[in-house]
Amino acid sequence: MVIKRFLALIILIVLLTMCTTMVFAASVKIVAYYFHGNARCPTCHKMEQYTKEAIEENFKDELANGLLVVKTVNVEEKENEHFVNDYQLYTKSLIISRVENGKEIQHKNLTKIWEYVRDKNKFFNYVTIEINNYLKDNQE
Amino acid sequence: MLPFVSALWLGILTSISPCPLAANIAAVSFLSKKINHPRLVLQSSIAYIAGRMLTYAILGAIILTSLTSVPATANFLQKYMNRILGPVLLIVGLFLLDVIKINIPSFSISKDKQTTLAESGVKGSFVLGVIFALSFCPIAAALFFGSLIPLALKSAYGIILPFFYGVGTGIPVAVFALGIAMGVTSFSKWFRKATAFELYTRKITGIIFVIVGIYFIWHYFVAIMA
Repeated sequence: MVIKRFLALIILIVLLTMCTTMVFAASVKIVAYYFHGNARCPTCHKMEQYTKEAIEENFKDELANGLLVVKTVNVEEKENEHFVNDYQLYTKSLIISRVENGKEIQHKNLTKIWEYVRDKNKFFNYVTIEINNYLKDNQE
Repeated sequence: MLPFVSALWLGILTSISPCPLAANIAAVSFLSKKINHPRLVLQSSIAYIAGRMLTYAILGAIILTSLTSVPATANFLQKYMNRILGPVLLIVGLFLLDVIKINIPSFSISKDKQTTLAESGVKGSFVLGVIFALSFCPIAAALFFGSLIPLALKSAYGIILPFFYGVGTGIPVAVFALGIAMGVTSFSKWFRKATAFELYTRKITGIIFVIVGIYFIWHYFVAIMA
């Protein structure tokens, strides 16, 4: 009886450890990059601001627990030049990237920000839906 | 048919977005300098459109035949062309204001020819079209490299699409220039002061060029330093 209980406990402990290691092993992160150059235009500032606002408004929890990170990057700085080739950038861009265990698995260029920048609601919806898609993929 | 219309529309969209506004104002004033001669304004406008058309066509062809990559071309042009634009506009502006004078020896070029060069109707407008087409602002880069080039890659007539895009980018400016010229011409008939106003248009264009030139220098040199 005691042995059985002991075994059950051990199995439980093993299972629990496996579970937690699985959670930690798949360390997932979504990064939203806003890329710009040295010269900034009013529309470009607006896009950066909208991106930040949309994310802060709709992804509070994800930002707090580090699942989602927002980064603003100047590609004309030496250390950031590689992003131009990595993401094939040709103008100010918003890229979302999924990183698993420190390695990028996939990324997407949200090119429609240029189309939606004149309509704040559309812009917010677009960014929110796209990031949600990436977050959803991670939970599966 | 649809890709051609799309390309044309992308060009118009590029031109009417707020970001190339400063350059477009300079272009409209330059094209409508001969304000009382709509025919000359029309010629200049066509030359300006031709300049833009040719530039985008060559650029498109270079990219579509994969001689260069999109990011390399896009970033090079955005980084350097906008910096060149400011000083060029400033110098042309000072030239139009007669602050700078180029003394070309009289034996090689006649006085008349010198004046034509200064007025530089058709040739100047063509060159202006080329320079402005090459100075991509962010929205222009987004639409040309991000929308037009992918469209051209998919289309069987891909190589022709940049031509239509170029026409599209030139149309709004040409319409404004012609509109102003035709408006002023019919207006001045009422007052019979046809020639008086035209004396000032060169100076006005010069002032606009200097202002737009300083704006570009400020934006792409001074603001960056700070």
